[in-house]
Amino acid sequence: MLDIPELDDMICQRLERRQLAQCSRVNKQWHRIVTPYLWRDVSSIYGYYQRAAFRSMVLEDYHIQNLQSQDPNGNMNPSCRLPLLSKYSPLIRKIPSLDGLMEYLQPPNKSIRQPSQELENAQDNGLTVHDLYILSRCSSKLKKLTFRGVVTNVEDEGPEEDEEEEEREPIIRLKHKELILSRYREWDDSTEFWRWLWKRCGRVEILRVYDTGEAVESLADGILNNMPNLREIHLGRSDQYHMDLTDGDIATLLSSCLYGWRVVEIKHTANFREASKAALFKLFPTLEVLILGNDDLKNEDLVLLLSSAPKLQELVTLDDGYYRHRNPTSIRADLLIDLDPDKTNTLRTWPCEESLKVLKVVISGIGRADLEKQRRYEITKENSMIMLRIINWTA
Amino acid sequence: MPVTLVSLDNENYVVDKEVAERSILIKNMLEDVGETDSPIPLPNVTSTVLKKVIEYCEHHRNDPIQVPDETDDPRKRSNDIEEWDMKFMQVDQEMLFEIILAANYLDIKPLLDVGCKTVANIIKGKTPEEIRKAFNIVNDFTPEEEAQIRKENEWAEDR
Repeated sequence: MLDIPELDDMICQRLERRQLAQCSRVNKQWHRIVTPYLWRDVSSIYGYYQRAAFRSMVLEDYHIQNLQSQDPNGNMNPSCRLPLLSKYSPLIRKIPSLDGLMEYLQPPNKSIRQPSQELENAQDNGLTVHDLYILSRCSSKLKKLTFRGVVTNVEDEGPEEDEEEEEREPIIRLKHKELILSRYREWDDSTEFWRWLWKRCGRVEILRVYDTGEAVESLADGILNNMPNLREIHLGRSDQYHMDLTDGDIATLLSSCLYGWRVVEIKHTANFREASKAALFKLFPTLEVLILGNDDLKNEDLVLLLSSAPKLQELVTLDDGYYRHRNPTSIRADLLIDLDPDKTNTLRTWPCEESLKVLKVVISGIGRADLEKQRRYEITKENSMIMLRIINWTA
Repeated sequence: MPVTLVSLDNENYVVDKEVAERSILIKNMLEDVGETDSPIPLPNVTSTVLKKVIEYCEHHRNDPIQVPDETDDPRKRSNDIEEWDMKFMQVDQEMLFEIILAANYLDIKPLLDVGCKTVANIIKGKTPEEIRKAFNIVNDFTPEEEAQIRKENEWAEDR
């Protein structure tokens, strides 16, 4: 190595993990240069022997940690070495998906006996709070931590979360900005787990809930009490693999934000019905962006929204992705014009007129001689005023 | 129109402008000063290395200028080297590193790439001892230290 960072970088980036491992043993200089590259990515570890080595490293670390935490004085047990993950964790940038991690942690063949003491907290029972703890120790500068489809004790799907973690303090606190929940289920003693998780979500700003789960109540509690920065929620997902959110779920979640949601997106897979609608109406004072993939809002509702949401910037009821399959909510032009109660043929100003940037809705009932009746028009305009002009013109 | 390059040890080399401009450093210098007959000093490059670099630039004078693709995963990039370059790079390790440093200084990206590829290829498949031999490196680890690192790296080692 040349000891010029840019050039060493060019060389190290061309080396595979096992080559880096060899290089790190060449001499002290090479070890210093190569180690960050070796530890940068601990995902995709293949091979029985390598996985076993990684497993024993993690578990041994965890074991040492336990021993230390049991000492009431917090003294280092002199027989303990410095835990490897503590030593190298600041270098780690990429960790395995949780499936992958569980594979590392589980013996490939269950008949192989593992030292029981070491496996205590990483049985095939799936993710526990302790496992998460290990994970969160992995890096102080972890950019992205992805958990997916965790197997829990009753052959059930566990949490899926995308988390951005920027730094870690002595007490772990996940500093991610976006939290995604999908296929999350309750399992024995999970109540505690969820509570533990929400407490660490103080930085979350965007929440995506793909489908229903028994933790919705708990989540709503968490949003209310633990996520003060959260103002954006996306509900439902437009693929086939998720259980639809119920009307009750949506209502619960929409009502859970202390300061009121600014951005709400409800996909067509979510069952947006009466309860949800009532909850949505209460959000009008704070609502800035509303994206509906659902046709259950009547055009009166949209008119009401336009005339009572002072901060509205974006209203979209057309989702290009599945527009052709659905009949999106449309606004009848005459109802919009009816915003003018005195029929003076001038429109009453909308409270959101200043703020509105995007209006992407279907307007129906505009009579135009050159077109057949009841054609729908998609209108996306920089400013609502342009639309108003169209309506004025047709009126 | 020829350009005169002057090495650290004051050797003059007259090369075609086209050849000299393989070096982005020189290209920019020439653009800055405009038409000039005055020699260009390269105080970071010795004559032995400069001779090699010019040899490379002569051979590649007609290559299209590389557009760097930053998004590429370097690990997926091929470490293949074309035959002429491979022969060109068959030098002792000291010279190899000198060429890389010169390519970096003169900003000749393709030569820099070939140099780094060559180093990576030399490392490939070698044990630490073999790497030390190849690059004339003295092992400054105690046996205990080396064993410790070996243990720490178990998860990454071949077996």
